[in-house]
Amino acid sequence: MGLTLFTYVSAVLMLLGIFRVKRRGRGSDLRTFRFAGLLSVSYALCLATGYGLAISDSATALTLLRLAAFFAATSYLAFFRLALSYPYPRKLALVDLALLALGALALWRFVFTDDYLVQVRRVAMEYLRFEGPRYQLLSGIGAAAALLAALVFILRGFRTVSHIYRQQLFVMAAGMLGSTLIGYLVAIYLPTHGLNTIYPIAGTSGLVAVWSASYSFSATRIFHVPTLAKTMGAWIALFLLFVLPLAFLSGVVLQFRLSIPVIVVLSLSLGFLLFGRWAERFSRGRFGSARDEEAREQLESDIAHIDLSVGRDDVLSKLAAILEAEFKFSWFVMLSETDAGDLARVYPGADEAIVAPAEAAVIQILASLPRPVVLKTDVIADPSFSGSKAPLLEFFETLGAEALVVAREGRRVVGVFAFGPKRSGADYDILDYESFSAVYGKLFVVAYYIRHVARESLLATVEKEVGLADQIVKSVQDSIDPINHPGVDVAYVCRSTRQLGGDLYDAVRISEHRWFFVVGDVSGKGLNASMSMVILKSMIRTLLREEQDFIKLVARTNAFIKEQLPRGTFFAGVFGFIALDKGSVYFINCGIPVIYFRSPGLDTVIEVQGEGKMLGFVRNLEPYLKTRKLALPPGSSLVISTDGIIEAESVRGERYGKEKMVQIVTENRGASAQEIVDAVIKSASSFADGKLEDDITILAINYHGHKEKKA
Amino acid sequence: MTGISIEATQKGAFTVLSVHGPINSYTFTELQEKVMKHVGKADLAIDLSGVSSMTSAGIGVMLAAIEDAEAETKRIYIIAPSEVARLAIESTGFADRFPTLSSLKELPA
Repeated sequence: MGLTLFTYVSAVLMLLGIFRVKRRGRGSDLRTFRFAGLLSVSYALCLATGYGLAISDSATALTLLRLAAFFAATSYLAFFRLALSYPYPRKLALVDLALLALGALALWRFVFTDDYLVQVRRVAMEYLRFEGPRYQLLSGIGAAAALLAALVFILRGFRTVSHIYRQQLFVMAAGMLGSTLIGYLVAIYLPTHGLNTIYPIAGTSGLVAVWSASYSFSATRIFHVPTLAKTMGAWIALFLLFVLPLAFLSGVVLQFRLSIPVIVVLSLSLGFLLFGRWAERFSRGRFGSARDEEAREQLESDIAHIDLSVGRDDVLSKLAAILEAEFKFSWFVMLSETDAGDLARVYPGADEAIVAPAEAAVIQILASLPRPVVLKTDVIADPSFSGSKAPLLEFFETLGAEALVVAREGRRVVGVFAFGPKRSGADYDILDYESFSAVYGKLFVVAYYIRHVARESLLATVEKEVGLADQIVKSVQDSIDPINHPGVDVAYVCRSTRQLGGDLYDAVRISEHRWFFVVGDVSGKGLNASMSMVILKSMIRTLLREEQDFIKLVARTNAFIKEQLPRGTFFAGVFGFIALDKGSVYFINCGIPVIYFRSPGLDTVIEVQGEGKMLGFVRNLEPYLKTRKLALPPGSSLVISTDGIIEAESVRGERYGKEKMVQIVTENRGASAQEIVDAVIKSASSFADGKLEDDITILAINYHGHKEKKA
Repeated sequence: MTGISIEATQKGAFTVLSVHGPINSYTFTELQEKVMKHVGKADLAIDLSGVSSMTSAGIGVMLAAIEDAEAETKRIYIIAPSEVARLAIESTGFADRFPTLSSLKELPA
């Protein structure tokens, strides 16, 4: 198969590039791109197969190579058509007709005449091509179409006001130029200088054009130029220092492949291992962001350490100063949700002017955005915003903003951070987007503080920062949909041994008889755990509205913890759905230590939690998750607790443990849910001599049965 | 209330932190400070054989240390966890995320 293998592989890669672009909102431009791409794929396949057959069936080979040339030329014509309309699809009937006529003419001259190629043969490793009288003319026309397409991309790039579209057009132009250059080198220049064995890889040239266009269709953010330069430099160095020497070594070794095959295999393996290892060492830290992770963590830390006790205006001034140092914007505005649901400006100035009234469509759009960070370039170029493009752009224009970070709790917009143009005039780029995303959690806490705490009169009376943060935590902890249903009696306690903690209980009403609930413990203690808990609770509620699949909901929560919360954060708990009409609980144990079940027909209490996997340890938790179903007969009880109770220690260092808890639950048979909760806490507290050292969350559910509701 | 003691020694390329006492919400800060002082800067071994109890706060410190070490491509091992420490690690469901050796003698060179 030899070199043709590269061309077949490139055809597969081209197909991947063509079909990775999502259809939504692309219109006729996407169809044109796919048509051009598929012509390039056809070119590669015909070329590779044609040269493959050159040794055995020269007649078929000739036809395939003529077809290949036709496909190459017409793919460039299709890219030229794309250049005329991208990014604003439009009908150009006359142009289409002319291109169609040119295509038909090309088919006739390339394939059905001897103008382009008369004969092809393979002799030993060499390909002998007998070119037709108009070979140069036809090849020149094909190359001219490619260069013309590149020229149009460039000219339209200069004329486009939008920087993101300009970048996309320039990338496509670079792809066309790269493709033409590779085609010229491999199909013309090198063969005329004695290297005609490489004809078959000419089909790879389309790869550059296809992937450049594919990337442009998907890229909605501006490059960060220093990072791009650094990454490209690293790739070039990698190629020169490791790939080329390895290729040379492989070539030398393969010269002896027939004589001592074992040595060949061993030498090549050793070469790949050594060069791979060296290249891996070399690559470390040389690719990707020019801003190191440390700076981003420092930014997170700076925001997290803003003293919340100094008052709203000072908090926002400090936040603005921290963000300004990182992003170097010309100005910054923060909007906060009012009690009436409007979005009002709270910084700079304290006039609280309403920027978007509660009924404005843009508030609903902001609440349902697929992600909390939105750059203006996203709205312009990302087709997923096509349905909301006009009101969003108007919102950007009203604020004069270039980037937004939207703090949301479920479907409510708690606050909006709007960032003006950069002082340098540059656009917000990919790295800015990543930095905004990295600090979203911290910004959410500030937004939540501004919305719920900063304006309360108690601000003046609370002296300590911890007291302020506690207000946030308490308001979040209290913000649940209580499970009020005649078929059930529910009680819970969620409290910290100090003022702040990471324990979490939340319930969300799904329908008349069904609730979602989560009980658990975010790792760490004090303010950090509390803030992680606040963010996590908000995120779970947001995901609950987006995700229909129970397991995926938990897996996405896990991914959020792993990627967005501070390193080392994990969550041990349980996610559940209780269906009171069916008398069932569905739950996923994520490391909750205790779920006790007592059936009316049994005297004993049994553990039902099974094995669980905590959240925050691996990136993809989905394969580890299992949903369990528990039938609740009328009269049954369920008691769920985090580790604070069973880990309680006496003054002698003894552990309270599960047995004592089972005993208390058993003794309280027939008690109300509140009595069970109180009895367990009283027992554990007494055992620990009143000094419970860990946060405690305990939930008790007494199920009475659905029939009782009807009665 | 029993306190925690953390002793730092050197064994080959490894800094060894030997922890004695309970790791809970009152003591984890001290452990966290000691671990953070060394992690990522040198190869680290945390000897948990003397741990009398370990809550989720301790697991959080260990996980953060492991992730920090991985980020800096430094080696980190948990050494001979006591029964309670081992149970706490196993309760996460991801005991394999905690590289564990049964004694300091097993530390690689």
